[in-house]
Amino acid sequence: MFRSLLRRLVIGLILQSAAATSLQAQTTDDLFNDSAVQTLEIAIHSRDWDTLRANFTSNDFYPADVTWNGLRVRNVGIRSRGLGSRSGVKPGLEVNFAHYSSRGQFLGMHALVLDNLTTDPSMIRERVAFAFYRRLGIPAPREVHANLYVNGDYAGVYVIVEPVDTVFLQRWLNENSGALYEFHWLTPYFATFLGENLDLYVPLFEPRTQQTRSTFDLFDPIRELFRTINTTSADSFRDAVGARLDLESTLRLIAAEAFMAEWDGILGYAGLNNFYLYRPANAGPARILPWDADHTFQAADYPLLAGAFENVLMRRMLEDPVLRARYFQLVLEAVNSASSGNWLVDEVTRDYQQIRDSVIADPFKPYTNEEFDAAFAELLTFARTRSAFVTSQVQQNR
Amino acid sequence: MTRPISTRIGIVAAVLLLSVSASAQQTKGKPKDESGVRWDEGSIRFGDSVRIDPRVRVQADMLLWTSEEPIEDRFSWGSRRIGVNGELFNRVQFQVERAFQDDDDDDSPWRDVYADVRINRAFQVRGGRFKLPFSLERNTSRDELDFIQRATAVRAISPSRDTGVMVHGRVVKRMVEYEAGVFQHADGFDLTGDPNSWSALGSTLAGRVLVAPIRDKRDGPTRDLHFGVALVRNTMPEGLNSRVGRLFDDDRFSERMNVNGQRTRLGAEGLWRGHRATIKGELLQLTDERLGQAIIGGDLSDLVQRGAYLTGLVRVFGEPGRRGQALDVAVRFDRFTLGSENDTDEAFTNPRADHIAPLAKNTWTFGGNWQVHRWVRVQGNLLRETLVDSLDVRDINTEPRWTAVMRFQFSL
Repeated sequence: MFRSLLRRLVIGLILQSAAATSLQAQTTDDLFNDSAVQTLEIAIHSRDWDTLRANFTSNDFYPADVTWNGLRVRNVGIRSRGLGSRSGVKPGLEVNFAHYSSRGQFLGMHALVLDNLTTDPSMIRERVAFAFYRRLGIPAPREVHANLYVNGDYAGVYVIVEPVDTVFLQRWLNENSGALYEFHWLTPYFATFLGENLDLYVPLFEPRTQQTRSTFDLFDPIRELFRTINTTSADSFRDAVGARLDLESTLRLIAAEAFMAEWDGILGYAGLNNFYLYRPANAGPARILPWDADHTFQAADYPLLAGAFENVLMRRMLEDPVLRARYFQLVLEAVNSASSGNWLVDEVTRDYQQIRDSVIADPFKPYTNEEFDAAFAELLTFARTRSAFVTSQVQQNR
Repeated sequence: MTRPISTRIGIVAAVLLLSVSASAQQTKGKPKDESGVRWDEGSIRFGDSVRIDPRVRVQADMLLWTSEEPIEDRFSWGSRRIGVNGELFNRVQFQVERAFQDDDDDDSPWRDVYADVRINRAFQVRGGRFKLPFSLERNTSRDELDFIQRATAVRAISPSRDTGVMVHGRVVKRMVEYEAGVFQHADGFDLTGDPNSWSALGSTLAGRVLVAPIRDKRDGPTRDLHFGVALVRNTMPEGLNSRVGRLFDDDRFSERMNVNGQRTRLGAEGLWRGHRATIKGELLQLTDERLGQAIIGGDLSDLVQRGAYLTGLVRVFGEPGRRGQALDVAVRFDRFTLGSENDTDEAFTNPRADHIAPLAKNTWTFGGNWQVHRWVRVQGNLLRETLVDSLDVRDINTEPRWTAVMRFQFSL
């Protein structure tokens, strides 16, 4: 009997130790492991959940506990988020681990976004787009689909999105002490010079770091960037703008967006949209980082240069022969990357198959199952035919 | 069927007024010293049985300097009120006052609207809308405060005015003063008829006892001395209904917390007044139950807010009271803390945290009061406010904030 007790004790200790090691060993790579749909559970006071859904246009935070893969984080803040995607039926959520304690974090992250996928009937556009950016070496958030449970009830399929913040910057750029801005679309803006008044730039570029710095420190570099883009002579454009904006990474991002027929990005139909701007601390050139890509893959025959000439930055880059040549070269790199090993077709198919059961079970999605399947079919057609179309467009325009 | 408490108060007040009127009728045969209508030092008198005092108060504040952002609005109104008070038949005191500005965290422009009937010195009854018997500083009129603003804890913890009935009086050779009342609302919430309300009489019960071994002495080292305790209890409805702390500029420095259940206020106060010096202070505490408020539905530990202040005041020149010119200098230290009964787990700032991360505010106020004329006063205050986030879990500015402000007051 004593031996039996001892054996149980030893086995128990080994299992407990293994479980603890397993929990400790988990990283963001495990969370964003896209080989399967993740499961995320939120515990929130029922009164708060009802209020959040009723007041889904508000940014008020509510306390909640979040559990993923055995890891429970207590007292996090959650709020409704999104612009056109805001919903009281299936709210998009920001999960902020540090909202109620500056020490709060989860796997080293301060926050997560739970995208409710209400603007994309295929529910995979953004995930495929961000994976494609990363494949091209463009810093883009990691994403993984997740079944979300709220107080034990299935709340639908969501995408967990890595936020663009200091943790993200450190991982991609090896430093995060600069100024990060989130661009807010207010009216159609095509990178024109708005004038000397710094207040004109404040509502467009919301500081996400260094918020306590003065308006001049934060927005003078923005004003000077757009002044330079608009007023520098053609001869000195590349050097002058290149000192303030990383032109190589900007061209790469625009080339990737153009290949993916992104109609709401840098060359968006209504002006600039869906990006962050990061100015590194060493006063080096700023970088544009993509965000919110659920309007990609509009159509396989979406023109390669759609929006290029309305946007002052792109128009002037295309007027520079060196930058123009580099742009079309980067577009062809994107074509090759998408086609290589049938990557785009396989990625679209894999993602669709992975989430199909979850989507069909989702009682809160704003689309029917038939619309979901039809959207996948359109994406598959895009993946199969876009490369040929873009290649022909490059040949016509370069 | 239960009558609303306001109706009950009205009935009680009417009965008391009628009884006093009858009592006054019986004394008609007595000789009068004065007759007719006359003006007497700011009062209108009708014979010797009716006195009416018109009341006007205008306070204008000027922000002189602050260590925070650039000053946008340097000028503001502190308070603008008109009203009357007075006495009828030597039995009934009354006051009616209306504010033209939200200057006292009140939800109504009507401030004090009450009648106070004196049966005898030991038993008086007050009915209407008036301040609850809690806190020495809260029950000091705004135009008689030693500083431009009340202490943080007094503003955060003491209740606002309410409609109710209160008995009060002085007993034991005037050494003991008592006040006990029942009020309609629970910190602004009308719970009349709510089966979960704590009191069947009304939403809030309040009581205060003062012991004054020395009162209104005209000489000697001690002119006034009193100590007191107070208790206010009511039931709070579920919601983000906790009290909040505010900075001098009225910005909140603590967020609202979810509460549900009993709210208990405890207060202790003391005052010593000598020939030219005054020392006074209070200890205040407010606890809120948080039944069923945990994220997963259980009870949370009580929300606890505490505060204290100590004021020292010296009259540089002028006689005691407010009759003539006088100059006072004063200093006050006050501290307000927010936390929870549970202080052992990991602390958070959220409204459903079992262990609420403690937050404190320390304030030094240095002031001068110049009574220019019986009706005119000029005050100057220099404040140093500091927030203390002892666990360093909040994203707040813990540097001291300095503010210099002046007030010009006309008070009839």
